[in-house]
Amino acid sequence: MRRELTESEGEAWRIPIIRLRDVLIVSIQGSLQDTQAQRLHEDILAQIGATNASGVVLDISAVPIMDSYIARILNNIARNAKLMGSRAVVVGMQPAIAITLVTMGLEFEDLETALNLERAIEQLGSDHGRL
Amino acid sequence: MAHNKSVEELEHELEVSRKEFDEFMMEATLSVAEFFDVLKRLTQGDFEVRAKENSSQELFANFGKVINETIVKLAFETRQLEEARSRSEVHARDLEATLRKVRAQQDAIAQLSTPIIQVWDRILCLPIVGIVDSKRAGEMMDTLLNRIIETDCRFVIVDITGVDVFDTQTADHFVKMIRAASLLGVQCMITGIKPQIAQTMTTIGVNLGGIVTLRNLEAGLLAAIKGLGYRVAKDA
Repeated sequence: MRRELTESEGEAWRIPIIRLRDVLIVSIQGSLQDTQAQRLHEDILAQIGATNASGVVLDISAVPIMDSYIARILNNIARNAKLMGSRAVVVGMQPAIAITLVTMGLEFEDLETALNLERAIEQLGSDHGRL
Repeated sequence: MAHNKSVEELEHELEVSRKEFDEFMMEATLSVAEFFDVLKRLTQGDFEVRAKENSSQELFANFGKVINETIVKLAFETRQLEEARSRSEVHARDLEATLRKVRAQQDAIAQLSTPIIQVWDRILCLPIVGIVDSKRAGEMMDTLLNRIIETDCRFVIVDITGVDVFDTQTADHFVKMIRAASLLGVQCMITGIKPQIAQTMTTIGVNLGGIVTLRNLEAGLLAAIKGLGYRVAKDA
């Protein structure tokens, strides 16, 4: 069972969300715990609401492995951000993770991706990025 | 007493019989010793050895003949066996050489068959020729994902003009590869789907899952260049 975080644990585990102009930048280091991911999900949505950010960039280049639960949370972040009129872009996914997720047969129709942070900012700045 | 032999005569006959018996025993001992020797040399692989057939005793002369016939037959069969074995050894060596050659060719084909060309700044092209099996698809995916990161790529054009056989498994490999590339943040498109392949795909119900498909490599390149924000115009 996933348990609720106590206040102090939540504070200690909280992943920082940086705001740069109207883009929120989240850099995830190491593999993400389930409770941490849930907390991040809530925090990002709250920040989008508070700052009216047009985009969220999630940098996962330092994440070595990822399970389906975390992947689904990333997809949910993207879906909810979209519903709130914002966009979430996941950047820097390792090839091994991409292969694993695809082999598991997971679909990420709401998830935008970019090669790195720079490309993500570019992509958010232009609407003709997608075919 | 014509039918009665004298004691001298009987003694004489006894003497003769004993002599004959002695001779026979002597011959028997010599022959058996010789046969033993012949058999021993035979087991050591000497097929040239022969037992003597001119024994004074008929029994041993015949025995020697039979042994010699057996040796000749045995020698012939052994020779045939050895020839067959050496033939099969040569055959095995040939097969092994062929196998090595095939393996080398397979490696060469694997290397040649998945070239990834950077056709433009941040555009990669993956021309696919021949049959895509799961091994090749895995290698292709690995190479492609690494090249995407190396080259800071933005668009990948998968050109399947050279693919003649397209089944659900092939489609699955392509979809997986393209999904994985998309997760890294590049946009992929498939170009060069031939009429008969398009027909096959609709007939067997292949779902490309919303992957962009374009007519040919040219169209794909144009779309990608435009996607990078370039304007394509003709002079005057």
